[in-house]
Amino acid sequence: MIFVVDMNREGSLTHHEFIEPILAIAGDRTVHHTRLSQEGVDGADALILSGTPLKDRGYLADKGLLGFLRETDVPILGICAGMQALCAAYGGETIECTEIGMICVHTAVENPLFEGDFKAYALHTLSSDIPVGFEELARSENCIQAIGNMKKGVYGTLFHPEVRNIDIIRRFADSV
Amino acid sequence: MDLAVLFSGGKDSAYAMHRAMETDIVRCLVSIESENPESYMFHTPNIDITSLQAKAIGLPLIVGKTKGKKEEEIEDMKAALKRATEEYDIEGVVTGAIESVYQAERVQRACHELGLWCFNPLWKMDQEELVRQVIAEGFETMVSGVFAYPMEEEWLGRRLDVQALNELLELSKKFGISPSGEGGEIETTVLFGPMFKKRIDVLDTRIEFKANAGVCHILDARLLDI
Repeated sequence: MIFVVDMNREGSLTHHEFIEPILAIAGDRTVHHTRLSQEGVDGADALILSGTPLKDRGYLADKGLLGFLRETDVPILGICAGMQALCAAYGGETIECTEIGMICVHTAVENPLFEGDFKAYALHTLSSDIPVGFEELARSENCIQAIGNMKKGVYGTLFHPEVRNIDIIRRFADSV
Repeated sequence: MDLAVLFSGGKDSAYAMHRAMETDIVRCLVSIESENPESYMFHTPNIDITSLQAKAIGLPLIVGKTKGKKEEEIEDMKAALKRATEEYDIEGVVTGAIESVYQAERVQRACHELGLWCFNPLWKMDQEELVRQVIAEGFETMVSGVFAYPMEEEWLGRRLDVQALNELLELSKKFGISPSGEGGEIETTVLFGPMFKKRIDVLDTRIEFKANAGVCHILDARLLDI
């Protein structure tokens, strides 16, 4: 079972925009990031952490979330805000970097989720440097676009694969 | 949160507004009237009917005018959104974008530059499901433009009901058109919906049609109490 973690402000209109498109590709239930550490993820084979609107950075202040991400053994795919939370959880430094729209992504390291050069939809004002234990999997002209700890099955994409690269989410789901 | 809706008068922006009203407060509508019929961003048949729709809904309307030149029209939209911020103290903007990255990224960028939140509550929605929900929620929607083979003149002015959807799904299977018109195959005008306080009664129309493309212009309409 795959849990989609809602990284948005609770009760926000953004559920339709950032959660439902992921659930349409993979995912069986939703859990809000503020309840992750209390409710746990019993029964989850993997987590997909959603993106948020540009102005929503509240997840970075959720210490319970960041602690949980650091300690769990469940495979994770963090999308945009989800990748930034993973980076913050593992000690990466958050960097201001804005990309809005279609960008070119260049794969840096062979990995199970994507290969080669491809176009992807970006919507972010933050990026991060590479946290300890992770490697850079892809990059755009401006910043890191994907990270991974392949041994743990933990990945992050700064771009939004649910928009134009749904195979990335399918491959992650098939791998767990 | 107090929001403005980028409102074209069609079913997508109307349904996005409906969803926004479930969680937030819509303070005003913003319509962009483009002089350019080829505009990818703003061209809509019957854009001038948005003032009557705003009255029927009971919300103020800000109309931004644009010559529709690429990128300049984004500055014109930004000016209209800035007015909405100044006049109605909005914090965010709602759009009816579903699939178009072209439209979504331009509105996202404009909102980012203005310091506004941007919400796209129909983003990536299944198009058949969208039309089904629009019908089920009680929207009365008129087909006001057709722009693709094999759409015929008979579609113009027709109501988008379950029968019409079934026919669109058939056309979708055979000819690959989008059942919600996302590819620009059809344009719609909303005459009534759950947030409407009055119903729009179309009194007179003029049909313009040539080679699988045409528009049903609303020439006269009135508001009816419900």
